Amino acid sequence: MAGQTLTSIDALMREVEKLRARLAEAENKLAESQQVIDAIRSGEVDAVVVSGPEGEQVFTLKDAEYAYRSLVEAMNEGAATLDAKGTVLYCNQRLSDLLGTPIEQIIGGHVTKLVAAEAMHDFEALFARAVSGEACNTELDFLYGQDNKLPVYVSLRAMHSEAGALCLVVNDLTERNKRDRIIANERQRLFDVLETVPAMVCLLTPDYHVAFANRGFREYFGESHGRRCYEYCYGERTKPCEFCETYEVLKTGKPHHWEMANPDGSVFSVYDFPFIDVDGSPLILEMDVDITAHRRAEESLRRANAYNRSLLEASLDPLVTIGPDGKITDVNAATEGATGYTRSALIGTDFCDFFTEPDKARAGYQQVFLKGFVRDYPLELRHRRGHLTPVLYNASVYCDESGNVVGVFAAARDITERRRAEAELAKHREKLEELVKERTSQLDDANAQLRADIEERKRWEKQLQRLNRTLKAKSDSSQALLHVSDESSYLQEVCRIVTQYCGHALMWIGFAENDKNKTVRPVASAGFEDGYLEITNMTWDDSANGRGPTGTAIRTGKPAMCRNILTDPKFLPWREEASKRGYASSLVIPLIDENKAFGVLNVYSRVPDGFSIEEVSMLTELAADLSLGIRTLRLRAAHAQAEEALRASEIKHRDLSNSIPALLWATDAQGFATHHNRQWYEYTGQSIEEGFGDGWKDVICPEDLERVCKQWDHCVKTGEDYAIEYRIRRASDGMYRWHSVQGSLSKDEHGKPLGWFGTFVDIHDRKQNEIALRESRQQLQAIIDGAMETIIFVKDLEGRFVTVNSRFEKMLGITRDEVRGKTDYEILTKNRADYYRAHDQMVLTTGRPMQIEELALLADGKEHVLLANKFPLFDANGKPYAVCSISADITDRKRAQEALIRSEKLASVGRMASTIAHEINNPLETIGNVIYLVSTNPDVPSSVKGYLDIAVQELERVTHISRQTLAFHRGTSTPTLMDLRESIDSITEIFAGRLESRRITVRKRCPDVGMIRAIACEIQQVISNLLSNSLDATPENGRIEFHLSRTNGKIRFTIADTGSGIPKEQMANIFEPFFTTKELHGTGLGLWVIKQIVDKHGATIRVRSKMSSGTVFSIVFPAVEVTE
Amino acid sequence: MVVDDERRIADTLAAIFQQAGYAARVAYNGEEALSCIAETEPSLVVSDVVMPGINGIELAKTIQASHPKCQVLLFSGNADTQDLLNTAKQQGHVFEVLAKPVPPPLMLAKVAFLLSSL
Repeated sequence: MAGQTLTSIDALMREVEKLRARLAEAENKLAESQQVIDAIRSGEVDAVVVSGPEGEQVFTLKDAEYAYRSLVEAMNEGAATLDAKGTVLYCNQRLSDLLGTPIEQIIGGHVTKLVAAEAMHDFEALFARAVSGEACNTELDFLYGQDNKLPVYVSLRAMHSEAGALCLVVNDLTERNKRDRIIANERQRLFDVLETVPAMVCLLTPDYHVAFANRGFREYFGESHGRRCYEYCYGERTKPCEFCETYEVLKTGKPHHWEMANPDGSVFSVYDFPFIDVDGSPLILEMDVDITAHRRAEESLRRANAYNRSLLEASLDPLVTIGPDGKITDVNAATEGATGYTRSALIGTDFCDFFTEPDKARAGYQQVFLKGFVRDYPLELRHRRGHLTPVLYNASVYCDESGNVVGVFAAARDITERRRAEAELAKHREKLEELVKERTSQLDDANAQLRADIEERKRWEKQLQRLNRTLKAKSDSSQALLHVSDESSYLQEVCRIVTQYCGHALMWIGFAENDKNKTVRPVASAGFEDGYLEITNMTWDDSANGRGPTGTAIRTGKPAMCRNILTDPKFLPWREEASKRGYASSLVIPLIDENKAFGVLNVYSRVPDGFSIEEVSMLTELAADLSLGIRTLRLRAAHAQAEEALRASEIKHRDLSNSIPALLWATDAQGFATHHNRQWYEYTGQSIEEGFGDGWKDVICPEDLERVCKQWDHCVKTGEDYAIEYRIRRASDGMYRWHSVQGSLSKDEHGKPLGWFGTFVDIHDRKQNEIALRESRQQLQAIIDGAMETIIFVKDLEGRFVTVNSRFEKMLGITRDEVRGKTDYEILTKNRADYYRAHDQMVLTTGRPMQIEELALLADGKEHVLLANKFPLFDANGKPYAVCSISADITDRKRAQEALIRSEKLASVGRMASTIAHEINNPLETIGNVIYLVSTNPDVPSSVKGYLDIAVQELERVTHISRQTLAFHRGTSTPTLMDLRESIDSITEIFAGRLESRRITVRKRCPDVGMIRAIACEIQQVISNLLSNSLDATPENGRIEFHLSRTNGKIRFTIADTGSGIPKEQMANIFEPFFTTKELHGTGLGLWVIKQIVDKHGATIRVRSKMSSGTVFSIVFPAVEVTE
Repeated sequence: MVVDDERRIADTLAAIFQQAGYAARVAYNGEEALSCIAETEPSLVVSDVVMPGINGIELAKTIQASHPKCQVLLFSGNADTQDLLNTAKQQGHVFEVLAKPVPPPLMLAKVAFLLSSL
C-alpha cells in the first residue's frame, strides 16, 4: 500500500510541480505583459522588445498608436480608456469578448455598467483612487453578458497622454481561477491524502522547522507544526540529531530513503524529498513510516528461520527440499555429508541423481506428490566417492498459503546399521534354530521317559492323597478340638471334616443311650443325609435294629463294616433307605471311653467295599481321637465350670476383702507377706511388690519396729495368735497412726500351717482419745482437787461415789479410795443418806442443775451448812449417768447472814423504835393532858381521882420507858458531852425486869468522873450489849457491877459479872463478827458492834474472864478536852 | 397560843391553859399560827416542833423576828429535834424544848416561869 501511495504522491508532486511551473510561467508572462503595458501607458518606451523562441526581436514603435492599437487589440487582456467621469472612451475587442458585450454597448457607456453589482463599491473606490492619480488594481467581478459574473483583475491608472483619462486593463481571471481551483483541489487532495496516509508526513524547512505536518505526524507528536523537528522527536534536544540523514537531501538535491532507528527501539522508514517551494525556498518533504513492527516481525522471522535452519542443520539425517520440478532447492549439512557434494552444488540438481536407482527415487518422489507423503521408502544413496548408503526416505509435500504444492520435504534415515544388525540377527537365528532342533530331539526322549515316571507317580499320589485326606481329617478334627467351644459343634465339625476330606456320602456320630431301647442317638452328621437319620433307628441291643454294624460296634467295642449294603442281611432294616440315598457300604467305629463304647462314628460310602484297610485304621484312630476329644471337652467344660465357681468365689472373696474397712494381710507359713487387700495398698501407698515378703515392715514406725518384729517372729515360730498395737505410716499425709494388728495361723486338715491371715484396724483416733481421756481425767481430778474450798464429788446412778476431791476427804475425814464405789448408806446414817439421796434423785429426775442447801455433819463434829450445786452428767447419748455435786461451806456465811438479818432487824427495830416512840409520845401527851384536865376537874369525885393518880403514875412509867427507848435509839451522830452515869442508869432500868426475874443484883460504883465526848445512843448501845451478855452469862442470884473511874483524865467504865466466863480459846475471837456462843439466837454481832463503837470513840476495850467465875469488860475513854 | 398538828394535843393543852386562867388560842399548823399571831399578838407561843409545813423551830424563828416580845416554848415527841436545835443554836437562836409527853404540871410551871419573866 505504501508503495502505491508513494507512487501516486510522486505523480501528484510532479503534477503540482508542473502546475506551479505553469503558474509561474503564466505569472511571469503576466508580469511581463504588465510591464509592457505600463511601459506603453507611461510612454516611457519607445521600443518594445519582445523575445520569442527564435531570439530577441525588436520592434520599434513608430507607429506607436497603430502599433499600440494593434498591440492593444492583440492583447489578451481587455483594455479600455475612460474619462474622468468614467465613461468608456475606447475599448478593445478583447474586452468585448471578455465581457460578452458588443463594443458599441461598452463604448460610451459608463464603466460601471460593466461591473457586477456586488463589486460596485470596490470598483468605485478603485476608480476614485485612480482618478486621484494612483495606479491601482484589484480583483473583482465584472459582468458577463447581463447577469453572469466574471472574475477579473482590473488595473486602472491615469493616462499620461490625456488629462483625466484613465486606462483600464481587465484580465480575465477565469482561467486563473480555474487553475487555482484545480490547484486548490489538488492541493486539498494532496492534503487529504497526506492526512490519511498511515505515515508521518511533514515539511521541513532548512532551519529544521516543521512547516507542515500531517495528521499522522500530529497524532504521533501531538502538535501541529511550528517547532523544530528534533524538538518534536526528542523533546529535550536543542540541536539537530546526529544520525538524521534528512538534511543531506538539501545538499544532494536528490530524494533519500533511509531508516531511522530510535533509541526507544522504534524503526522508521524515512523518505526525504527535497524541492523548491513556490517562493523559491527549499523545503524537504519527509515521510516517516513506522516499520518497527515490520522490522520486529522480520527479526522474528529471521530468527525463526535461523532456528529452523539450525534444526535442519543439526539433524543427522540428510534433509532436502525439492521443488515441484524435482530439483533440489535446499539441503542441510547431513545431506552434504551423505552425498559428498556441497550445498551449493546440490541445490538445483535433480534429486534423483544421487541414488543408485534414480527411477525408484523418482517414483517415490512422485508418490509423494500424489499421496502427499511417503513413509520409509527404501533407497540407496550414492556418495560422490562411490560408497553407498542404504536409507529410508520419509517425505511430505509442503504447500503455500493457497494450498498449492510448492515442494517436497524429504528426510533420509541411514539404515546401514540397521541392516547390519538385521543381518547379524538372521545369522544368530539360524544358529539358534539348529540348536533348538537338536535339543528338541533330546527333550523328546526325556519327555517320553518322564511321562512314564509321571504316570507311576500319579498313581502313588492318588493313594497318598487319599491317605493324606484321611490324615488331614484326623488332624483337622484334633485341631478342631482346640478351637471348638462346645461338644456339639465339635462333633459337627469332625463330621464335616471327614466327609469333606474323605469324600464319603455321609458321616454321622451317635451316642449310645442307656434307655430301655438302648437307642443310638445321632448327635452330629455331615454329607448327604436327606432325613436318613430321622427315619432310621439304630439300637445297640440285640434286636434287628441292633445287629447292624452300629449296634455291633457298640457291643463289641470294635469297628464293624458292611461291605455291601444291598447284600448284607444285617443291614436289612435300613437297606431301602440307604440304597435310596446311594449308600453302598458303611463303616462303623465305636467311640471308646474307659474301655466302654459310649457312641459310634458312622461312615457311608457310595461304593461297595469303599473303605481300604488303611482308611479303616485311620478312621479308627480318628474315632479314638474323637472319643478323647469328647472326653476332653466334657472335662474342659467341667473344669471351666469349676474355674468359674472358683473365680466367682475369688471375686467374692476379693470384694469382701476390699470392702472391709480394715486392712487385711496374709502371709505364708514362714511369715512372708503374700497378700494385702486393696485398702492396705491405698492406705500405705505401697505397690504390690513393695508390700510383698518383708516389705510391709517398711511402713512401720521406727520406734515400734523392733517390738513388732520381735512379736511377729515369736508368733510365727510358736503359731500363737498375733495381737499387737503399733504405728504404721499413712501414705496420704505421711502420718504414723496407731493400728491394732491381729492375726491367726490357718492350718489345713492335717494341721500343717498354710499361712497367716490378719487385720489392721486403725485405732489411732481411739488411742488418741484414750490418751486424751486419761489426760482430761487427770486434768479434771487436778481441777477438782485444786478446788480448795469446795467439796466435789461424783456419784453414779446408784449413788455410788465415783470420784471425790481432796476437800471432801478433809472435810468428811475419809479418803477417796475408801469412799469410791460406796454409797452414802454405807458411810452415813440412814436418815442422812436418805436426805442426800433425795437431793440426788431430784437432780437426776429433773435432769437439770440445782442449787440446794444441805446440812452436813463434818469431821469437826459440827453441823455445817453447805450450798451444793448439783448437776447431772450426761453420756454420749444424752442420758444422765452420774450426779456431780460441788458444795461450798456456807456455814459461816449463813451465820453471818442470820446475824446480819438480825442486826438488820435490830436496826429496823431501832428505827421503828424512834418512830414508835414518837408516835407514842403524842398520844401520851394527850392522855396526860386529859388526865390532868379530869383530875383538876372539881366535879370529879376523889375516889376517881385516886384511880387517876395511878393512871398518872403509870403514864409516867410509860413515858419513862418511851423516853429511854427514844433516848436509846436517838439517831444523833454527833458526839456530845455526856455523863456515863445517866446511860448506866437508863440501861439498867430498861433491863430491870429481866434482872429482877433472874434475881441478879446490880451494884453501881459510879462516882462523878465527868463527861465523855461520845454519841450517847451508841454508848448506850454498848452498855446495853454488855449488860445483855452479862445477863445471859450470869446464873440466878448472880451479881453484876458497874464501875466508873478516872485516871489521868481517862475515864474507865467497867462492867463485871459473875457469869460462866469466856473460855480461853474463844477469847481471841469474841470481838469477831458472827462469833457467837449463843447458838440458837446469838447474832454474834454484839461484841463486834461494841468494838466498832469503842474504836470509833477512840477508846479501848479489854476483857478478863475466868471460867465459872466471871467476866469483866472495861472500856477506857480518852480524856475530854475541856473546850466549853 | 398553842400550836400542834395533833388536834387533841393542841385542844387539851389549850383547855389546860384555859383552866389555869390563861387566854389560849390554838393553831394546827405553822401558817395558821402565824396568821393568828399577827391577829392576836400573844405573849407566848407553845408549839410542837415536827409539823407539816413550817416546823416549830422555823416558826419560832419567824415569831422572834416578827414579834420579838413573843416568847416561844417548844415541845416535841421526836428525838431528831436535838439536831434541829443544835443547828438553831449555832445560828444564834436558843430555844427550849420539852420532851413529850410533858406532864401538865411541868408545862404549867414552865409557862408561868416564862410569862413571869416578861
